Amino acid sequence: MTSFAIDVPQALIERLKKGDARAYEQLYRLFERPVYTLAWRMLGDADEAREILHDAMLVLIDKLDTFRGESPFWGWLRQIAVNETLMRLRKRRIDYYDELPEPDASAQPPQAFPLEAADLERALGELSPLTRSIVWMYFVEGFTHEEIAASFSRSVSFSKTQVSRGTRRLRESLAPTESQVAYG
Amino acid sequence: MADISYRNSPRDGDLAAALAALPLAAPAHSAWPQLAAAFEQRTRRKRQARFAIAFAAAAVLALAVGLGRMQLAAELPGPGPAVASAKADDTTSNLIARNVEMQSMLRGFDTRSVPLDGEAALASARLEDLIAMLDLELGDAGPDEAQALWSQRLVLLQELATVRQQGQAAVAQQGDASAISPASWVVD
Repeated sequence: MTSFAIDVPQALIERLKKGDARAYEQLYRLFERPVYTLAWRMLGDADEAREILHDAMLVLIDKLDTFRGESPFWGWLRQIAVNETLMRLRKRRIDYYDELPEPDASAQPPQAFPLEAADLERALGELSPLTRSIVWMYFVEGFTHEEIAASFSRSVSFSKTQVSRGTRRLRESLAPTESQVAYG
Repeated sequence: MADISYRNSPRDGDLAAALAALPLAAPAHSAWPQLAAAFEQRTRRKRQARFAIAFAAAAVLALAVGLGRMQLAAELPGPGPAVASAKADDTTSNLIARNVEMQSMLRGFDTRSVPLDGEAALASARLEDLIAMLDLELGDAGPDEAQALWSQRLVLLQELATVRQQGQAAVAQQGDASAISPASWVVD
């Protein structure tokens, strides 16, 4: 489940609407890590992730009046964080089509192996920011392909393709080498 | 773009679980100090905007009431002046007009830029905070609450004027060794 899923009392939101700085600090403390982690995973850059955290928390104040409470607060804030991060990705002028080579359609999918956190961190780091972002949004944040497609202004197939390629690339990267198999 | 043959299978659940289990990251330096400053700035700006609107409305209202009264006084003999003013004094529009008057008087203090003694500066800052809180409440108050709030505000402004007068007098007597210029000379 996403780390954003934190219940925020309505009273806290009301206090923030009235300009209570302590309510704002409380919200910051609650969501500092989820927002930072999302931005860091998607962008792969600590400084930029901190800027996203800062910017997203400011957007939160500026747009608070537009929050109607029809969906959970955390979902609303997460969407702000995602939008800010995607804007940053767009500035990098990523070419959506030249991200990864087409996989060999006839090849067997890589086998599942025990997934160690350190190896996973390394494998994630090897993905391109675009693919990593989509893999993260899909697997960890639970966005649907339709939602991801809308966020990137692309087709649903685009999202599916990126997730599939990213998954394959992660599994390949996590697969034990021949020597590990021989001596492991 | 065609979908590719290798699709996500249920076994990708292990990958999703492993990714979700990765520890959360935290920034090397908290963003809170910068955010706190930005929040304060934005809150002050909002308060000032709300206050400016309230005062503009108050000024228009006070003018309308003043003109109305002049017209009534000219046309009708009405009740005795003491009775009429006692009733009018408690109306919201009257309270607003007196708030505006007192505000202008306090601005007069500010332009002199004479420092206050430390104690008075502290008291002055506290009163300004209380006034600012009342202003926030006024932004959301209904007509019934507003009258009481404007009345409280007037009392606070009067206290503020007294504190500043006394504070400046104390500095004039003691020299400016203990003088402090308050952070905010203008009640916003």
